[in-house]
Amino acid sequence: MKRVTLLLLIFITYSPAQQMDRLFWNGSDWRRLEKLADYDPELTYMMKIAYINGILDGRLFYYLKAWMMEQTFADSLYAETVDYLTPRELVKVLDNFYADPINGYIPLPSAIIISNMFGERIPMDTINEYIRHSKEWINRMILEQKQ
Amino acid sequence: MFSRPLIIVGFAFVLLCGQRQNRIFWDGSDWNRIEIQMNQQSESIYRVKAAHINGLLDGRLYYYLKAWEVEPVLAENAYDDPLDLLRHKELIKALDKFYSDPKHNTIPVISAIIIANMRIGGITEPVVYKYIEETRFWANSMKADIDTMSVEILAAKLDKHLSKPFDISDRYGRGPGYERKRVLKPKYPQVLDKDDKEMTWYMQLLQGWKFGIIGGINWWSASDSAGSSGSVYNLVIKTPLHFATEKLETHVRLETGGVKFSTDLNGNQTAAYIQFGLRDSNIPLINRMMLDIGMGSTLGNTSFSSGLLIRLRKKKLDLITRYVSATSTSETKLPPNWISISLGFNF
Repeated sequence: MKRVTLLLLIFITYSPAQQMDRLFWNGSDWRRLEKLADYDPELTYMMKIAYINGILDGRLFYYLKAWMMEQTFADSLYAETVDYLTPRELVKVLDNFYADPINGYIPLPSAIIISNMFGERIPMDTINEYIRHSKEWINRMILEQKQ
Repeated sequence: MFSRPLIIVGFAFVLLCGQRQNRIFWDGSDWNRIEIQMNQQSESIYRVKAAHINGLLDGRLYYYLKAWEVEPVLAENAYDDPLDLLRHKELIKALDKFYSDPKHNTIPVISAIIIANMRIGGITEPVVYKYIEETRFWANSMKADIDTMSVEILAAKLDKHLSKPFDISDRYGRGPGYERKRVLKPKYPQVLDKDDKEMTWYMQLLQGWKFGIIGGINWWSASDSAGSSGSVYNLVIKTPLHFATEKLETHVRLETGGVKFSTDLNGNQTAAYIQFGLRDSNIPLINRMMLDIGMGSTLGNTSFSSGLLIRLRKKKLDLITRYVSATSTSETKLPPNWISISLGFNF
């Protein structure tokens, strides 16, 4: 009985510790969608499209709001191209991007920008630099959040 | 026999296609359509709706963090909507209820989330109602604008993509002026650093200078008490001495040009002005109002002025009224003081 209680305690302590501090959905969430959707391709696709539309809507809404307050600032903040690829193409490029586990912890909003950079055929050096920068940025943000 | 029904069906089909509205955001109709697309399977519906909400919140948080790194005050103001008072499950229920009323169909989902959070946050119903009405108004007017502007937008997009240089990395195809913008992190550090180095020597000199033109009339009382008038026209040079806080804004600008009091009394006028006032005005049509104090030379005589500047038409037009006093010699015979009313255009 004691052993079971001990095991239970260890399990309870260990489970929350495994949860990573995540600010945004990232590669692991993106890949997990398939499992969540019970490997139903249509539902997986719908969830991915819904998420992408959510990000783009959130971006546009606050771009318009920021634009009303300070146009130059808003234009500089939202300067990246996020609409070069259609949502369908974006889903495919994101699938490929997150297939590489090293990209797993890059946030999805950054990955959308990166995917559009791929679409625009921006030189790989620049894209790699941006990926490196995004990794540093998200690590810094998570550390700051912890502090 | 069948041709007439076929034509009617075809016509109805064309009409239905034509009825599709331009939608900028996901709104109530998209929200309600999820149920149909998911064949009423509640678990799937929940997952798709939750994914969309997660996307909205992530999109907001991402740009909030980016904005906060550069302009914390502006970020706090722009992203101050309450969005996280409800859990996803509660939020989805609240949105389902909200969109069950067909008259809310045009409200964007993100606004509906704000509305749900306002309600749970204890905001009074008249305020929430006002927010809904305002949202409906801007969402509808934006749709109408998109209808009329769509051709221009398409043309602009095409132009943007056609004007891309072969080596797209030069500007990322984002059009002229992209390098001049302040770029936030995470961004394109390679290109930014390179450009910074290349542009430093002249950017520092050129940045912040702006130009405009101004013209108007001078009015003064002549010695016989009759009103007299003359003209004034100037080139406006706005210096980089431009200070702005959240509420207050100050400019320093120079004006140089000609002034004409009569056929034999005309010549050069040059002056420096300090303008200060509150930032964006709440009065309709007026973008900004500023006090204007200046000192300079009119036909070689020292002149002082004080007045009011009203900025209109997206800050492109200036309406300036000044009271000018000048030291006069017996040779120049300048009026001791006059009122100058001018209209200026900012480039």
